Amino acid sequence: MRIRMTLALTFLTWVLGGCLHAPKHATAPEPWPLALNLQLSSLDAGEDVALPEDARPRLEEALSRRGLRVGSVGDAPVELQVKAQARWYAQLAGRYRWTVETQLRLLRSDDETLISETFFEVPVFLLYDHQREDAAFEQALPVIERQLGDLLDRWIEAEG
Amino acid sequence: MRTLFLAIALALSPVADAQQASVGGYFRVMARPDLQGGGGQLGYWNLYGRLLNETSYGTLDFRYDVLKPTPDRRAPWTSLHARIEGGSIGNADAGGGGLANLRMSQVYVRGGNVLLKDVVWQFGTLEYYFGDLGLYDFRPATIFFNTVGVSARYQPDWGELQIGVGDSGFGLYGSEYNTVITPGATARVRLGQHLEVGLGGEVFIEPTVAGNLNGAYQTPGIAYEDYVRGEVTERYQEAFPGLEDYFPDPRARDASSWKAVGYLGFGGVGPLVWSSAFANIGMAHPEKVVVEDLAGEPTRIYIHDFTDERLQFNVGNEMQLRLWPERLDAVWSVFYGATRDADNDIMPSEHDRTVASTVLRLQAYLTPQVHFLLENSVATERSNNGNAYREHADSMFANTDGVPDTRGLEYGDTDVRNTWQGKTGVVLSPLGKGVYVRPSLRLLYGVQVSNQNNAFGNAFVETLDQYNDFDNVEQHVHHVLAAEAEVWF
Repeated sequence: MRIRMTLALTFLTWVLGGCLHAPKHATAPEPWPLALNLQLSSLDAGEDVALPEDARPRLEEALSRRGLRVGSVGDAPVELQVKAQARWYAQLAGRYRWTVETQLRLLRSDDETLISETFFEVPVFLLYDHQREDAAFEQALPVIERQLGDLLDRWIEAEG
Repeated sequence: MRTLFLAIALALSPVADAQQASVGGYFRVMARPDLQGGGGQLGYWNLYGRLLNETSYGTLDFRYDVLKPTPDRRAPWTSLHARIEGGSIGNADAGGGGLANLRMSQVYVRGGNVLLKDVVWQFGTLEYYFGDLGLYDFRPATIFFNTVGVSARYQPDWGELQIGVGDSGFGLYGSEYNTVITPGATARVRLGQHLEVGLGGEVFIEPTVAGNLNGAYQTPGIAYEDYVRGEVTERYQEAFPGLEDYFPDPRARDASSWKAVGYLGFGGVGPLVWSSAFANIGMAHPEKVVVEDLAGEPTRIYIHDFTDERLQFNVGNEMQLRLWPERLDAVWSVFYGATRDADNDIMPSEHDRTVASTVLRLQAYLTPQVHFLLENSVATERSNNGNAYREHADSMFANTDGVPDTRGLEYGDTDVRNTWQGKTGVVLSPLGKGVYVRPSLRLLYGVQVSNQNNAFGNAFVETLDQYNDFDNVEQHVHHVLAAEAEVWF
């Protein structure tokens, strides 16, 4: 009985999750070095604030997945700036609505020539008042990752 | 209202700077086929958990930055907020999505760095809460729910202080407005990373201007029982035949009430993500008037003294637990509410009862986007003034001694309603893992067992008349299927 149940659950999981293909993305022909400049600020506090722990690894993963090599600011020929500004919005439906205004910019490191940029606002809902900018940014990460991926894909396809 | 809509539309039009206008909101919509004669709700209300007991709802909240805050936080700034919400969506409920079901529930303007640095002023509606019991969608620690006025909020790193004052007259009485001055305050203190405490309160003061039809009054010389039976004028005519013109004039009163709220939050330890306890205690604001017919004329009977001793106490706690990281989360809530009405010793009412409930939701992550949900709730509701529920389709209405009483004020044949609900199903979550991650697309099955007969919204015949066209129906187990979506944005 237990084996049958386990098999049924495994099959269900396979059907529900496994039949989906991973999203396609562009891959750099060689490991181009790219510096990741990540910054989170608070509009309400008027200052930069600490990033959540997993923010940088997750965004670096988006770079690595595309065959890009993460370099340091100043050394890499291209810099990717991720500037996010979290802002309190209102109490809404029992939650705490924040917005994370995010600017993604790809620049040539030597003369700061703009290659590409995008700007968007991510609404997030936090459960508790003590959750602040870092929690808002963490919840916005799936959307930021998606936008970042699109920006990198367009750049790789144009350069490649 | 039309002007306000126009202002909002202009603010959100393409002419407006996209960074100045922002819109957020909340929607839930569902199909809940009910093959047992119900209206699509598993039970009567959220005490059994909000899931499958709430109906459709929508909220749109606009913010327009008239003057956006500067990064250095030194310059004055101001923004307009307007909220439209209501409980109807086309084809999903009886309201048919009609705009008459919506209301402009909030409009306020916030401004900072004006007069005082780091103080945020808010003019307009002032509703504020310390947090939410998410499984119930109850907010016991709410103040200024009915108030429009002005508040000042100071938010240092260690917490928040807020004072405000306004008028709750329209919120409480609508077209029978009378000024209800409402001062209040809240304080929230964060003690490190793991502990947070909040306290607050408000007072409602309603001075009566003699002669104002909508003031607080009491009609003298009437009995409470006559008032609840709607027989005040009938008794008067029996006692004083022909003297209708001498029906007693109301006596002015100064009405007042109060509410205190509290919050205790802690967490970030082991599997406990956070625990939030909210409580309130207060005296409900007195009601104003009922209208009865006296010799063909509608007659206002003022009831301040019959409704000014309604004490209420509510406390609830919700814990978020990460039982198996990335695999299994749990949310556990408990709620207790007691109301006491010192004026009423004869009739069951929501102002004199005790309710208690607990809800546990487990959410397992089959994949980041496919979750399995299991929820269980147990609740009891006890009427303090006799029978309030009907256990059987053919049970006689009876008083607490079990004697049939056609003139009795009690209802049904028991003073206790016990309810169990179980809910399970698949949740599709495009944004990933988390019990409260939205959008949430749910395919659910729910079952309720109650000692009350047909304990859900229904259209069954309840009388025992032998000439009824339809038979009575007896059922204590209720099943519901649901396909529903819930989104915050």
